[in-house]
Amino acid sequence: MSKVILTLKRHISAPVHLDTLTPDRVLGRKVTELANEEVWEGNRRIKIKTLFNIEGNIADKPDDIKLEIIGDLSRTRSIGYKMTAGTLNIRGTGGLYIGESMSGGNIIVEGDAGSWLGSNMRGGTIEVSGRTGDFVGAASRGTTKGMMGGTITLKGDAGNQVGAWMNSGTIRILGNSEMTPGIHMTGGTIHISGDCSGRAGAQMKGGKIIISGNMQAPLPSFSFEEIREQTRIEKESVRGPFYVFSGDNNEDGNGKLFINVERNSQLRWYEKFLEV
Amino acid sequence: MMEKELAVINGLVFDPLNRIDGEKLDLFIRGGKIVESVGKKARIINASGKTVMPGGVDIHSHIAGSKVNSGRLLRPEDHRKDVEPKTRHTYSGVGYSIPSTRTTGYRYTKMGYTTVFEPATPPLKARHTHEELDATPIIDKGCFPLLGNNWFIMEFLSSGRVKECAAYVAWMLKATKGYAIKIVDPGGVEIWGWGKFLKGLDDPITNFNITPREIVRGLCKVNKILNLPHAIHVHTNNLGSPGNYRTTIETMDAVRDLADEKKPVIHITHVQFTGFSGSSWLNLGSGAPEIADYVNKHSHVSVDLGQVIFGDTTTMTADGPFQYFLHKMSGNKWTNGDVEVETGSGIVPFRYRRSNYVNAVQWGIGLELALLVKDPWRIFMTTDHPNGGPFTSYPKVIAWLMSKKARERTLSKINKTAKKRLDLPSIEREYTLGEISTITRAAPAESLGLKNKGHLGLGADADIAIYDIDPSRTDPEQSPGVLRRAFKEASYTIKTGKIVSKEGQIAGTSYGETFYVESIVSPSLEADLLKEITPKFKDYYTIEMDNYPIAESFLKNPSRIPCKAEV
Repeated sequence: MSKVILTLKRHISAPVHLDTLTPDRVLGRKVTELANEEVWEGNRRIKIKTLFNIEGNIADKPDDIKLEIIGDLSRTRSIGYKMTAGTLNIRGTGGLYIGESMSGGNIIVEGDAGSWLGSNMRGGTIEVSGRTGDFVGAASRGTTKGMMGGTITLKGDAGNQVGAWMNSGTIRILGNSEMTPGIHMTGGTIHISGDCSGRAGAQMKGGKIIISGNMQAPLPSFSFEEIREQTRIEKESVRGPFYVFSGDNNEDGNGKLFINVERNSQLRWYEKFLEV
Repeated sequence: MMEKELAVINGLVFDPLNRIDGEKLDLFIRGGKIVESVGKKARIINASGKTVMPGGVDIHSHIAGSKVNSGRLLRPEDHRKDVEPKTRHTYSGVGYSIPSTRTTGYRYTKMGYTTVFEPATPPLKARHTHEELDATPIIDKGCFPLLGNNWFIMEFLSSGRVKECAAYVAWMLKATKGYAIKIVDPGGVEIWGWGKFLKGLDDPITNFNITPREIVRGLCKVNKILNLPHAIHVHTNNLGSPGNYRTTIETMDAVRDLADEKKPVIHITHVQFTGFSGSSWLNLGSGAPEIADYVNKHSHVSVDLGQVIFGDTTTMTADGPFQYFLHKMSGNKWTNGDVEVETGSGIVPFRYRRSNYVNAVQWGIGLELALLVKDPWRIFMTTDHPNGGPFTSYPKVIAWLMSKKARERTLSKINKTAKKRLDLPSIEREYTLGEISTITRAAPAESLGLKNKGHLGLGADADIAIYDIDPSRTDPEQSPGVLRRAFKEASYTIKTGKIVSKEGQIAGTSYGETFYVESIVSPSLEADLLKEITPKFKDYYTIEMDNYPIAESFLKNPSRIPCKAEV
């Protein structure tokens, strides 16, 4: 295992595109070459070494490479873009599009992360310890294929439209979620351990959304089906009990929405349908 | 800054309008024009071992206006995948199939094109079109107002008032600063608004006692009365339907008796899309041989290709009904527009796939047409950008036309059934550089009536493209890659005497002219017309008539082409 540490040495004033910073793309290069690589900062080309102090060495196999980037990276974009292997550790606040289109490897963000984290993701894992912005695991703007594989774990809260157009894979939110998680989703699983602001699964056609906290109401275009004691995420059991809804009927969808019974007493009136 | 004097020496010149076919010649430029000689201090470009052609002229490319902009809004993913950073001479820009305005100008320039016409401008949105054309650098340009579903025109023609219709069209061209009469799915867009589809040229149009045939014939007569420089520019009915080649031939034949010996009276555009034979998608075939046969036998017609390029693009047309159908068929996202009184539009992203039978046949139809139409002066190279593919794919089309080997390479990758049903594998013809110069420059310029474009004779605009092709060393048949690379990035592009591109990089910028025609009708006829249409305008439109016309001062660099009407 080798480790390359990039420590931010100045404030970033304009967005910086760091899409070349992945273990597989630094493979076979010397640290000095990496330092001299040019990236965009706003409308200017700059060398990476003008932004970071760089130390360490690069292993021969991408799986053995760990890139550690330290500092306030909230103005960066696309760290881990199309990453296929290795480990990328962001120690500080991450920017937009972290792990976009990645297909393998691990990204760990020890801090908050910006929007579009894991958008168009195909595989690998991303873990964020802080709060994350909008469109986690979503399809990039204008496209209709969101997350197609892999696992995203958000230990803090998440923004709006988590898993928009998601097709496969798993997103776990240990905190709360803003509006419309799983909008347009066709497959995969989203688990929100905390509360959801609402409209979960709007226009979903498939997949599963589990809300272990509170959500005021499902959309009216969802049908109530049953109460289940538990459900599964991959091989892991998630305890309920849950109200189970199916939808979105506006889209002839067959997605499943699991809402925790104990945390949502306002939904108790649905139980009368079970008596019929 | 424009060079005071410039000389392009030792180049192998292909200037079909002046019957020069690969001769080693020197060209001299002063004041943006081709002149007989220049002084000793002139800047010299040594084009030795290179091909020199007039600047490219694109007769049909959707580059500006409300429809194009709606496409940009619909497709952020199209921008994201293709980003152009700014350079010393250029602004940044985005877009693969629907580039931003500046990127459009730069990319055409890099390919050696210097004149481009936007072929579908809703008159009511013409102001927006001109704003975008004005924001498109370097190239000269113009636009064709859409008149084939216009209520006033249908009313005039249904009552047999061709003279008054001519006066109205003249007023419309002046008001919109338009260049030619564009007809899209005549009557079909209007009738779709009433939930119906046109099936043939003689179907009546709801609420208007008229048929598509009468619209096409009427506007062809109007075109002649107004002495407009270009023929009526027609997107026929039934576009995209199996068997529609019959409609195309019927449309061409509908104006045969109006033929003029001097030049074609009807231009059928993106004829690939209206060249389908067969009766369903299962037995779809190429109607190219039949269309080419008609074109070969009748001089009153010209066509442009609308060649399909495999890959991702954005389809956009005023043919709203067809776009609705395409959206339903493909499941892709769609946006639709209705322009009061005048026309409509639709936009659908689309990916042409080699493995798809229909797409592969479409690809073959375009090339068959280009290779079977004998007269290169009546067939022009287009992809109907972006409908068949982005204009940046022109080098691929040139390689297919010039090299059977390039065609065979693509044929080996397309849908097998399509390959069997196409005539393309048996066609031996290969275009020469002279013919390429004809279909991409000389012929479209002549068809548009642009006297100073498309050639390099004395007095012509000094719009020149120099390509890194040495015909004595390069065998096009064996070197399609060389052709593609050369036509993708011209060694030099010179626009009105200024070097604007060098080795595929923009070397300087300017803003070209916007051409528009003004057909002058008799003052009394125009006065009567205004008297008649003013109250109707108030009834039909939601804007005031006073706000409708675009003043010449609104255009950045207008170039008025006057013509004397016969009424």
